[in-house]
Amino acid sequence: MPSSLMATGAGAVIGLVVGMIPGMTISSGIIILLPLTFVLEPNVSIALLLGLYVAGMTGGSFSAILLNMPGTPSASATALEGYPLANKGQGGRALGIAISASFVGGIVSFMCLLLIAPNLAELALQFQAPDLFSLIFFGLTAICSFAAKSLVKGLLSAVLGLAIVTVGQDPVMSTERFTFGDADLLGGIHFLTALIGLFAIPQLIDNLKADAVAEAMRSDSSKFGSVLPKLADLIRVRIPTMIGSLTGTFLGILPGAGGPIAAFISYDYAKKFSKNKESFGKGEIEGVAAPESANNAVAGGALIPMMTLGIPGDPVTAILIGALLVHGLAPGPLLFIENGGFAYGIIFSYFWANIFNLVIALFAIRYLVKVLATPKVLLMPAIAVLCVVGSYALRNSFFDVYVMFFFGLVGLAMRWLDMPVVPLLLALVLGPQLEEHLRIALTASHGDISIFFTKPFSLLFLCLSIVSVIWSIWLERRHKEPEPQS
Amino acid sequence: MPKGLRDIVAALGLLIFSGLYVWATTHIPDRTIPNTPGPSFFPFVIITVVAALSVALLVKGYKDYRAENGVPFSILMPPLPCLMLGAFLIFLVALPWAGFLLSSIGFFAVLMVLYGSREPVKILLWSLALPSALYAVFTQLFQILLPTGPLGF
Repeated sequence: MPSSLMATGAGAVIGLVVGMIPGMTISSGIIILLPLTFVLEPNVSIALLLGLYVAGMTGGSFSAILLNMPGTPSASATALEGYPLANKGQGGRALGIAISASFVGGIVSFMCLLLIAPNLAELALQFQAPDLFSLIFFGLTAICSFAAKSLVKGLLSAVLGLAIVTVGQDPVMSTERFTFGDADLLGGIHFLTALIGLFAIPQLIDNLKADAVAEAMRSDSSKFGSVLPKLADLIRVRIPTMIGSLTGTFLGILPGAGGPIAAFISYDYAKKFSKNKESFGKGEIEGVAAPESANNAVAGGALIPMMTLGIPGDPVTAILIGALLVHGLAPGPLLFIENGGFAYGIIFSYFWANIFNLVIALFAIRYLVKVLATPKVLLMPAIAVLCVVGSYALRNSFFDVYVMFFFGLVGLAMRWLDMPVVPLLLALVLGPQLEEHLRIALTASHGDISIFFTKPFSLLFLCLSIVSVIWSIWLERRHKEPEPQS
Repeated sequence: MPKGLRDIVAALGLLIFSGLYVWATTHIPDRTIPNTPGPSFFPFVIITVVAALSVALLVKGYKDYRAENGVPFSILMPPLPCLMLGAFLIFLVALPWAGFLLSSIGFFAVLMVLYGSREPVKILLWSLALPSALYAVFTQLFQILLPTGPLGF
C-alpha cells in the first residue's frame, strides 16, 4: 500500500538520523514515534517502526566511521576499521561499504524470514501450554545469559519484571492483585511506559555531559568523498558480508543476543578468514562490511521469533509487539492463520525498509550527517517532552506518566547496580503469558509438574534453558580468571 | 560506592521488598477451584526466586566488598542529574494543573540550561517554539489528546 511505503521511507529517514547521533539510539527514535503508532493504521505503524529499526542500525555506522563515536552499540565494531579509513581520507569508501553491507545483511535475513517464519508458525501451532511455558522460560533465560555480565543480576532483573507484571488482574481468573483498591493499578503496568522510562531517562542523564559530537564534527575526518561503492571493493568484501549476514540472522533469532554481539563475532570471523589479516586495525574494509551486515541481519532474525512465537528478541521487537497489541493483533502462530495478509505485509515492509535504507543512505547521507552538528541542548529536551507525550497518549492517563518516571528511576538504579534492563523489559512483555501457560498446564495435569518434562518440545526448551544458564556461568568464570602470565 | 557494597545494599533492599511482597500476596483472595493453581500461586513462586537470588547477590556482594576493602567512596549523586530529575518531577506535578503546553515550555527552558545553553534569547525562543510545535503536531495533526490547563491548552 502506498501509505505503508511512505511510512517505511519516513521511518528510514528518522532511523538514519536517530541512529547516527551518539547517545540517542534506536530506542529514542521509537519513543519519538510511539504516540503516532496509537493513531495510525497497524500496517502503517509497523512499516514506520520497521523503517526506523533497519535504518537505525545503518545510521549508527556514520558517526562510528566519521567521528569514532558509534551512534548505536551495534556500530562499535564498525568504528574499529571505519575510523582509521576516515583518517586516511577514505571515509566515503567506508560509508559506501557499510551501507551496501547493511543492505545485503538485511536482504539475506529477509529471505530467511520469508522461508522460516511461515514454517515455524505452522510448527508452533502444535505447541500446547507446557511447550509455550517452557519456550518463554527459555527465552527469558537466554536473554539473562546474553544480556548480563552477571547471571545472578540478569535473572534478578527478569524475575523483578515478572513480579511487577503481577500487579493488576491475574490473566486466568481476573482476580485483583496488589492493587490496594486503586483503580489505576487495576489496569496493571503497561510495558510501553516502563520501556520509555527504563531507556529514555538514563539516556537523558548520560547526555548531560559535554557535547563532544558537535565539537568532533568540526574535524577533518568528518568530511568525505563519494560514497558510491566500487565494484572491486564489493567483490573484496563478499565473504565477510556473507559471514556477517548469516551470523546476524542466526543471532537475531536468539532472544537477547542482539546487534553488538553479532557485530563483534562477525568482525572476529572476518579477521580469521581474511587474506589481509595484517591490515585489520589500520583501516580494512572487510572489517567494516562484516559487522554492518551482521547488525542489520539481526533485525530480520529478531522478527522471526517475534512474529511466529510472540517472543521479542530485543527492546525494538518488544515495542513492535506493543504496537500490534495496541491494535488488537497478537503476534504468534495465529497471526499467519487469522491475519495472513497482515503478517506477510510485515515481512515485505521489512524488505522495503532495506531498499529505502540503501537508497536514502547512499544519496542523502551528505545532508543527513549535518544533523550531527545539531546541539544536544535542543534534542534532549525534545526527547524528554516526547517521553511524556508517549506515556500519556497510550491510555490518556497521568498514572502512566508517573509510572514512566518511576521506571526511569528504576533504570538509573539498575545502571548503578550494573544490572541489565532488557531482561526486566522482556519479562514485562512475556510475564502474563508465562503465568497463563504455567497455570493452564498445571490445571490440565492436575498439579503434576512432570508434564513439563514429558512433553518433547517442553523438555527440549527446558534443556536449552539449562544449556544457556551453564554457558553463562562458564563465560562468567572465564572472564574472572586472571590472564596467563607470559 | 564500591561495587560490592552496592550489591549488598541492593540485596538487602530486595529482601525487604520480598517480605512486603509476601505479606501483600497473603491478602490476595483465594479461589477454591480444585486442582487449579490460584491467583497467589505465581506471585509466591516468583518472590521465592527473588529472595533466593537476593541471598546469592548478598553473598556475592560481600565477597566483592571484602576484595575491594579500602576503596574510598561517596554516596552523593552528582548535582546535574539531581537537578534534571527534580525538574522532571516538578514538570509532572505541574502537568495536570498547568496543562501540557505551559508546563512543557518551562520544562524545556530548564533542560536547555541544564544541557549547557547560556543564551537567554535562544532559550526563550526555542522553549516557546519547540513545545508549541510538538503540541500542534500531536493535537491537530495526529488528533492525540494532551492535558489541557486553565487556559484551554
